Amino acid sequence: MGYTQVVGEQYHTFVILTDTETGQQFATRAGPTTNSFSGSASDAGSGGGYGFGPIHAQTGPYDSSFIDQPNVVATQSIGTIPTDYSQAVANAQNFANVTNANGIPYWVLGPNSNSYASTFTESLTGTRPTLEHSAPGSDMGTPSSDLNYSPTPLVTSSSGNTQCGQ
Amino acid sequence: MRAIVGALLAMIAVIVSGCRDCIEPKFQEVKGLLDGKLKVGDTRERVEEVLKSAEIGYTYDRFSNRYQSTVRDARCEPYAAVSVYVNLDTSGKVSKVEVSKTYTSL
Repeated sequence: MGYTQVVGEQYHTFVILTDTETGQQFATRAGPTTNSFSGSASDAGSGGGYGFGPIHAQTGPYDSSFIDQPNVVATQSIGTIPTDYSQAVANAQNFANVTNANGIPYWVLGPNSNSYASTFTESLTGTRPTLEHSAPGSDMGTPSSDLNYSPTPLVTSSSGNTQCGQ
Repeated sequence: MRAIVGALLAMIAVIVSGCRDCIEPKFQEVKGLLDGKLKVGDTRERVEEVLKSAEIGYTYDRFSNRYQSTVRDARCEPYAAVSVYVNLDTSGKVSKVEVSKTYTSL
């Protein structure tokens, strides 16, 4: 789990997948579609998210070209699943596509990027991650029935292995 | 508790919104550049040439068969950026160029 600081001790989270054999990394994240704080409750009915628009999910190689990379202040290892790296990447892509297709209205306190990251982790491992930093909204969301994969239980759990200042 | 949540919301709203959409000029710049220099059917070599000449760092995403870039504006907070995806078809030619504004919040 990657963390970037948004305000005070409140964090934006995203998920980093690491190939245990090659070290390759791939990530998925979400955020609001727009930066507007305007709008009304009726916006939500059209995917408006009270002016923030629907949740916008992205995937890609985790390097300097990935949106969150330069601002990461901490990472937390969640554990290992016995899944081929390319399959885990395909699962992340499916989760992002299903999320975008569902047009979920974004709201600051959730559903938000933290809801997305924790729900993706749950969809992948079957276990909701226990986060070490405050990420409002991370308790919201359940994996969609539209996903084309099922969870693979963790074989090792690494909670408590936070690295800061990356 | 309500006061804390309200203050938090207000702070985040200001951070995410800003007084204006700071990333808009950079978005228009990048979109204009890529719309003008790349077209459907262009080769992978052409894509790399255009991105390099514009000093846009990129990564090839083999899983999505596309080039990925994030362009920032030093004048803006790090909560907004421009995302670029140049999608290729199975023959390695450009099929679609996507340029969008991307925001970070909770």
